[in-house]
Amino acid sequence: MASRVRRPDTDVLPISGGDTLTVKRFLTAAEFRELMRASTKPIKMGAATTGDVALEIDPTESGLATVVAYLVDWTFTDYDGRPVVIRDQPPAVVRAALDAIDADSYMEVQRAIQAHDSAMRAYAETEKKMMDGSPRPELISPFAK
Amino acid sequence: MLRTIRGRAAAIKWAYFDAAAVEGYTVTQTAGAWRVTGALVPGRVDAFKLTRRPLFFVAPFKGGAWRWEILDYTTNGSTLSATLGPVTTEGSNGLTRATARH
Repeated sequence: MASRVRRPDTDVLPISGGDTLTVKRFLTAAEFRELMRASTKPIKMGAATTGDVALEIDPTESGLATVVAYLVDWTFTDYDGRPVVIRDQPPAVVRAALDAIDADSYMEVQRAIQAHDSAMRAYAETEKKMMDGSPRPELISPFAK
Repeated sequence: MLRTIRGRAAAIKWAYFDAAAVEGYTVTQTAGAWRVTGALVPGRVDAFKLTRRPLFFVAPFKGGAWRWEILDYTTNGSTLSATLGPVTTEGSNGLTRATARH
């Protein structure tokens, strides 16, 4: 049986301008739950008196939540060349830094991390099918160095 | 020679995870050996991550952080006492260098 606890490895994703993003290779269950919580908003169903509530994915928050879940560090600097520090910072600080970069840069970060997320989910699916002891697939993150 | 570093907030790290938050810590170096004592912050202690290795004691300062590998630790659930390896210093750019305080 394969281990259900993954080593907390990171991958480095190169983006434009020579910058890099350091991201978690996989999320833990707690990180995945937080991602789901931050990506959804409750909506009331039917008459208000019934109290029925469903969850709706918020696409804008979902993208940001995915970025915050995976992002560990980056090489970004401010206009004076000083590092914009996010490593070991609380999520609120990381979100504030993401809010402060320009929109094109943010979208590039989000696209790179969403591609990494898709690749790691595909890897995990393939790995699950191979739990019978067959050789593990190669890691297939499209950007990872 | 006795060296002492006191601070309010620090963390025990396992890779990029916080295994525990520590407050009111005191790091001492006696005859080359580093030790730390401090209080574990209730609700911010991950019992599983504390079983992982390697663990590091990370004490931030303005513009960087000191980082020691935890060689051994004891806790009664609310306080931490640990022996530490050599210290390294991290700058705000994330680079790590050995510190002359070895």
